[in-house]
Amino acid sequence: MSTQVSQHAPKAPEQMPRKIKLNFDPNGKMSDRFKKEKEKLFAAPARLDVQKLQIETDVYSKWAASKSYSEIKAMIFDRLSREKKVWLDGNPICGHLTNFIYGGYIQPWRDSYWIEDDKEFALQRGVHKTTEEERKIIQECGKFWIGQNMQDRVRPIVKAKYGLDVQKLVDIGLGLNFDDDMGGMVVPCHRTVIERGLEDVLRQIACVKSKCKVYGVQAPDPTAGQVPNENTILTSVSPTSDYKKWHFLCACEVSIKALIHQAERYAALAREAAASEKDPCKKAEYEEMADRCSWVPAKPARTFKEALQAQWFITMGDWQNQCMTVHHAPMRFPQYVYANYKKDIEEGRITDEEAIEFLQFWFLKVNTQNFVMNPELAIWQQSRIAQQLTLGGLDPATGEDGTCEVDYLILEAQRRAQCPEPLLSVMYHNKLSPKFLMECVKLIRTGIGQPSFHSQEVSMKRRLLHEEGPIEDIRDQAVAGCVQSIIGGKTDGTWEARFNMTKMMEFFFSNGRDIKTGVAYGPAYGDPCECKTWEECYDRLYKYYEYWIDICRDISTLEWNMERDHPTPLGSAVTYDCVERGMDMVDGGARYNWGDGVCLAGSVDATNCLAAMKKLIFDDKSVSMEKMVAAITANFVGYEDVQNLCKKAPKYGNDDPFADELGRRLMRDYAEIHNRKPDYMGRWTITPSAYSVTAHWAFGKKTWATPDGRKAGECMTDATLSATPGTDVKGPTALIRSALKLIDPVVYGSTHFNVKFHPTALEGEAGAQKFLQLVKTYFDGGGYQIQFNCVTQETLRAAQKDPDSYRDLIVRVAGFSAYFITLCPEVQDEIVSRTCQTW
Amino acid sequence: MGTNELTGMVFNIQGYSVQDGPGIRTTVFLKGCPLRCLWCSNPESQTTPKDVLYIRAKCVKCHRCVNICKNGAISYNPDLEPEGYVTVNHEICATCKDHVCVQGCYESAYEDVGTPMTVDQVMEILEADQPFFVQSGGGVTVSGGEPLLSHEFLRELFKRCKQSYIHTAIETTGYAPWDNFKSVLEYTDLALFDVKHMDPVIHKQLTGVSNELIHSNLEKVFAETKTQVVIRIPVIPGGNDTVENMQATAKFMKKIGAREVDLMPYHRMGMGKYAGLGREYPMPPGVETPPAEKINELKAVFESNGIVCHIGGNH
Ligand code: SF4
Ligand code: SF4
Repeated sequence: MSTQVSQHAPKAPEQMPRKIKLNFDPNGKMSDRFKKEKEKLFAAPARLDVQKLQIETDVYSKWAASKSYSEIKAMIFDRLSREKKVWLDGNPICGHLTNFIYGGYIQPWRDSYWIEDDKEFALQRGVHKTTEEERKIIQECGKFWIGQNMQDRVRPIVKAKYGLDVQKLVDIGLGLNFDDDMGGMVVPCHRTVIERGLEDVLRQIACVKSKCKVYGVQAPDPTAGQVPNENTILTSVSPTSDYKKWHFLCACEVSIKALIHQAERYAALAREAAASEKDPCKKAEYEEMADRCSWVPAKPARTFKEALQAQWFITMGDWQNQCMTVHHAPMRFPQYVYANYKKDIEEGRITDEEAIEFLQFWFLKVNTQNFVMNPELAIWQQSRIAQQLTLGGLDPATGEDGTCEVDYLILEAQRRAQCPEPLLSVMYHNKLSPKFLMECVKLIRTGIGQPSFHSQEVSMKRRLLHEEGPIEDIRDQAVAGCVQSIIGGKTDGTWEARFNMTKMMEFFFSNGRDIKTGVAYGPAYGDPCECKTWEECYDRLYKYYEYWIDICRDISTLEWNMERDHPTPLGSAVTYDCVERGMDMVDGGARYNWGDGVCLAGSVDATNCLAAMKKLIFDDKSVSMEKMVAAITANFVGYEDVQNLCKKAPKYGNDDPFADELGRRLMRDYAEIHNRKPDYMGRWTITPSAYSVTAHWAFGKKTWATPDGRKAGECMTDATLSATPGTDVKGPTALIRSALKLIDPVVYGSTHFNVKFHPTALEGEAGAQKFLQLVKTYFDGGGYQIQFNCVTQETLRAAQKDPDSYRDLIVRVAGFSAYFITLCPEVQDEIVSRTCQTW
Repeated sequence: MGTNELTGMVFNIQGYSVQDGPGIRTTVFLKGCPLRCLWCSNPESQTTPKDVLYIRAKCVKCHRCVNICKNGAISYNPDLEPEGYVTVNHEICATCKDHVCVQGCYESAYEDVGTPMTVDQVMEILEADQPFFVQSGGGVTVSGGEPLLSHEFLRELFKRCKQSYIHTAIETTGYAPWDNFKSVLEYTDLALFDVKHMDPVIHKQLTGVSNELIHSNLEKVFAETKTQVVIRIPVIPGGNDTVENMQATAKFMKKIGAREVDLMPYHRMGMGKYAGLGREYPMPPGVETPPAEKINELKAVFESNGIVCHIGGNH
């Protein structure tokens, strides 16, 4: 086995674009069997699984002094793979993430909330109340982790260096996720598992190990011998010495073998079940399951079903190592399983209807993924695991349309199944076939909020701006995270803190204080009434942005450096080029870097604030700065006249240059400030990001009144390009034109644009076509991402009143599909009130 | 008056209109109409002067506006509903210059209806939307009201559109002096031409005017111009929805050479606006959108006459 980098371009040149042959019932419904399994899963209670916590605590407390971090992670996974419960259920795909149908793990090294005497833990679908027994285990283990978790390590340093309390910054709504929602995010190469099998990776590891010099000559630091300066201090990364490589490679081996072992346990179970089964049909199915589990993920998948089983095993294993949002998404899944599908169809092993049902069973597996959260955090995390599945896109080798039959089957499977995950997204380009796009509209019409559309062109430009790589890699763009794009299987995941744009307005008016508590944070740049011109006013604001964006970057960088103590050997083993380089992805082993920097929310609110301030205070002079300060401080109580003027000032979303240009300037400045420092490894691939998820809601709650007329505590605007509800009065073409101006999506790592459609706008073939023409014009204009909520307000209101009858109702909240009834009432209200476009 | 000073009384410009002609269109609505159709869903368009729409659902009954309006058009009406509402004398509003109520109400319960706009101002918006037109084969549709009441403005606007390669459509009742009509059609690619009833007497009952001028204009559009025509028939339950009327319409269409018709089912979405204008809804209570079977039955009448028939405007 060579250690050569495998590019994984399709071998024999197929005719491109592909001729699509499909054979399924376009009006088909869920099968009874699948429906039963789906109901079972979604009715399953949320449970906390403390077994891993016990193993993890035990391994760390015994071995932390003598083993490398990589080896410790591998030992934990190895024990879990041997000791966890395995069982079969009605799903033909084997493998359970935890010991429960729907269970989650505490990640003790990440944060400390769970150690406190919390009796509740939130999963994505529901809350678990701990039993006395579980409580005892948690408390026992908790003793070990006090002071050892990420938060306890990061916060004292921030306090000592900046005099800032990270928790306070979260509490006042300045930012989020400074030191909690992180972790070496894995976007592994599913092709490796499906096409090569993990035994091949083991052979490769053995080969790299044979070349590894373990006698410990450490490569010199490239900056050694130089007089250190600001730049070299920031960028020097200690290289990995060979004995560390050895540890890493050993950890990969242990992890891979552990996963294969788990698969074999399922194979044994299925074999037993087959032996005792009387029904010949069921017997045959158990035998097939046993067959699959004893073959994959060790060996290359031979069939479509094996490919899906292999994909689930690696995902499950990776989530057992680290569970968190967006981790280990299916990426360009249709591309990875296409060869197996095609072979099965040609050889008559499967029909499209069977393939659809099997895909649906795989969807159910994806919907068991989850992570445990602090219930307080869960309010704004919402039900997201963000398993983005990319449809469409280009064929990496030829640059032609990469869409294949499996893309269609997935759309159809989701149309029938209506599952909140995976999230279907289309990598949009001009070679997509009209038929495929019409099928996408068909799914959107169901009201599921999927698929969303992402621009292939912008994604490629963005990558090329930062990195060099062969065209085959650059074309292989997948949607990742919430609304970002990456090269799947070859990229490590970094993302930094979230930043509240409107908090700076509050600091400006209060001279650096949180108005609600009256407490000062960071610098005070002076009384706002000193600003006599608009430029002076903007400069003052700019200073606040400059200081706080930099602080967010610094805290994130510190956190990520500590993150290197939490490697991910299994995920790294299947990510190019970690094995070849003998480096975990947290040490920079992957070929590319995601580089999602400090992510802003509230771009549109901030734009509207600037517009109101400039217009009222400086242009019209209808409100003096003194009066505005007084009105804001009083939360507009007694100043309703000022609030009225604020609300009627120019607003983003109407193609009004007055508002849009001010916003654009701020977004440009944000990017410039953001990009002054590299990431935690000294890489300049880091880019600012712009999406909200549900942060606009959390931030809104904690931000005082703002000059756009918003009162303290009110929700901010969803996404980063959507208009504030009720303010986009000129319709969708004007809204799109504004959106194309506000944020440069090549400079930013993401933009986020939700448009709500009334179903009537999509009626008929003509309605669908005009809708697609709207989408295309947006992309031709340089847009990056857009998604559509096609639901009636009546439906949503009815769902609020009678949640039981609307369990199935899915809406896309800011980048995520979620069951509407699982959202908190405030977020529900916000969705209902979002301007409904009824053209 | 020079062409630059020509203004139209625009009461709405609606992007992404998908029901008003081919492709994605931007529809410009002009105020003023000589007809008074019972089912009109844009009652605010019927009069020509500026007006305001009072949106009761937004009103919190603070009564501040009573004093804000210096013309005494607003009065407080404690008996109207349990909590009392304000009423607006729209005749006074028709002569009001500043519309301070719109800015003055904190709840934005008043909306301006009608803004005089120059051809340049409208063109700026249309040209910004042009990428959507190019992508979809769309363009501008001018609707109303009856846009031909503003024929000079309209002719100039369409002339400029043609210079900018924008497809032009007009949605019209056809009720205008032929010379005015013809001058606009010179720059019009498509006319969405309303035909409401073939019987002149019933037509007058339904719309307030007879149909002779309308029908003669329709004939002339075919005989004297190159403008493409699509006939539009609002299907009004109890008004014009008989098979006989449709049969007569089809016969007339065949005679003049019209080959395409859109059936526009009646809807009640304009009902709230009547309240906002302080007017009674003229349609009798209980009339609802006709069922699909009814529409299909009428569609069949046209198809049996070899006429292409669509339901709704989105095709
Ligand atoms: S219209 Fe406005 S100002 Fe008048 S009573 Fe209603 S809320 Fe008050
Ligand atoms: S439009 Fe003029 S007259 Fe009418 S209510 Fe408003 S301010 Fe008064």
